[in-house]
Amino acid sequence: MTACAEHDNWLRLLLFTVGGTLFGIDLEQVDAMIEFSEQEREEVHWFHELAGYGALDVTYLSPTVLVIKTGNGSRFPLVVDRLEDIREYQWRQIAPLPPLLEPYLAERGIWGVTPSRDKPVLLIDCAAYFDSHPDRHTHSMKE
Amino acid sequence: MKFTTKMIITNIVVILAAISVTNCFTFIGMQRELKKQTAVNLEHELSTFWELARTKGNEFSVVNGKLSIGSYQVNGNNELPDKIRELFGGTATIFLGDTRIATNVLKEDGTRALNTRIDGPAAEALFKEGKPFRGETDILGDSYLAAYDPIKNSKGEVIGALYVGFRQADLQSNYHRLLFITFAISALIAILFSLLRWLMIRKSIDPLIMQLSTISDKINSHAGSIAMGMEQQAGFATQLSSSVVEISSTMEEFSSTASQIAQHSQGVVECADKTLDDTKHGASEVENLTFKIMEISATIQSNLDEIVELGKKSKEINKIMEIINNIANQTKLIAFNAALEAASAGEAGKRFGVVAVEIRRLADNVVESTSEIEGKITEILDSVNRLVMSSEKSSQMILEGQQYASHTVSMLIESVDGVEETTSSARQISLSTQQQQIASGQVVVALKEIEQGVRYSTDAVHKANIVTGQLAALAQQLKEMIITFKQGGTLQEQATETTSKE
Repeated sequence: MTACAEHDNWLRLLLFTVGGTLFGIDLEQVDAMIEFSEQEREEVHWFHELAGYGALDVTYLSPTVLVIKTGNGSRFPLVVDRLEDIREYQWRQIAPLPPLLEPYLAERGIWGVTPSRDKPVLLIDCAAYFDSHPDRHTHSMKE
Repeated sequence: MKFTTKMIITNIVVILAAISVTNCFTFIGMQRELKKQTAVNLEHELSTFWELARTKGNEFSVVNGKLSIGSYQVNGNNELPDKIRELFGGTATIFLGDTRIATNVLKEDGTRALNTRIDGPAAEALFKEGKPFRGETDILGDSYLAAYDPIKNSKGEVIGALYVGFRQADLQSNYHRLLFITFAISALIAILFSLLRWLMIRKSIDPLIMQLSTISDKINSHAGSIAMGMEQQAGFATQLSSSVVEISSTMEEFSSTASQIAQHSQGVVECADKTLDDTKHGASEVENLTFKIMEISATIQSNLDEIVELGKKSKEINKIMEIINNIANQTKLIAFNAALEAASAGEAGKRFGVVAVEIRRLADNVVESTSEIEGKITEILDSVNRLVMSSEKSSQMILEGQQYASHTVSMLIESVDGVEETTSSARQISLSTQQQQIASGQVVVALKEIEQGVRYSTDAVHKANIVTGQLAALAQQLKEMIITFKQGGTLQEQATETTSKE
């Protein structure tokens, strides 16, 4: 379980795509969504680096910067690909990760999975990730 | 026997025959003349006998069985017959009746043939017919030419006869002696003449015969050489005839081929003329085609410019669409942020959140639409690019085609010159081939004439060969004749003699 909103039965997720895979992030962790600028390339975090794509070459067709706010009030610019939708899910719709994959995926902030129409949505806790890996994230944003 | 010997003998025989015939006629004439002369002599002798008797008396009478002339007793008195023999050399007799009473005719024993009797035709003529008798008569077994006159008494009675005559044997012996002498002299003359003739012949003919023999040998040798030459010439003429026939056949084929070539050359000339016309027409057409291609090229270039311009417009549209898309993305982003804010606002932001969602959907629709438009524009641009590339390729190909057409025009113009030269050459070839055909025909005619001439020559050679053979045979015959003339006998006989000697 992450630090996402759990105060009711509904969970609002911002769905986005990176490398053809649909991800979902709790809307509570998103402070703002801003347009990506090439001048800021060195000042942002790239989602595929965070999610552990490794050497895989990931193409961003519509890069968008999500400003992630952590529990300690820090904010990190995270570049994802195209924003898909804001959708609400019931908690019962969220399935845990398979035990075999769970240690590996949890390391990268992925904590669950839920279906969205015909594709699965991997749920990621970016705020927790940034909080747990403060040494890796030097590109923080000022308030 | 030598020919000269034969000729001498023949000469002698001929001369002798001529002399003999001449002598025969002469002696026949002489014999006639002798008889005639003898008859005259007998008449003269008998006349003389009568005159001698009348000298004794005028009347003949028989007294006592004895004949008297006048008083002259005749019996046993041989005075008058002897006188006649002295005068004329013949025989004379006085008959009393048919009995010789005075005579100089001798018997075989040499005594006078007194008291012998006359008989035969003379006795018939004298004593039966009382006529004189002239002619041949037999006296004591010898033949005489005789003349009898009857002696008549004064009463005209035949009492006896006077006879004169010559023994034919005596006359013939002289005649035969003369004949023998004449013939002997003739033969001697003939032999002398023949010997002289032989010497002359030997002197004049022998060198001639030698020369003739040499000439004959040479003729024989030359005839052999000529015959050999004629054989060679005949063989050469036969080979020449065969060669001429072959050449004639070849020339006929050549003439036929030349005729075909002439026909084909005429066809080539026609084709060349047609090719020239076609080439000129083709050059004109290709020139027109070049102009058309240039027009097409200009049109395509214009289209290409239009298409490029269209591509630029499409790119501009694409830029506009990018702007729209950016706006839509920004709108969407704003909508997401609005939705985020609405979510943060709780219940108060629900209605705002709905609006944000709608705006986001509109932005999505716009993005989708712009994406579709972009896709379409991209397709258009791709098509434009392909069209531009194709047009450029076409333009390039048209340019190349234009260059090829220009090159083709220049080549066709050059070809026109070449084809004109080809046409001229083909006409020249056709003319030359026709001349060649005529020449070939003339050659064939000439070869036929040569063939005819060779045939004539061959015939002439054969005839000459035959004549040469005949000449050789004649030379051989001449040689044989010369050998015969020189040595006598024929060559075959000489060969036989040589064989028998061996």
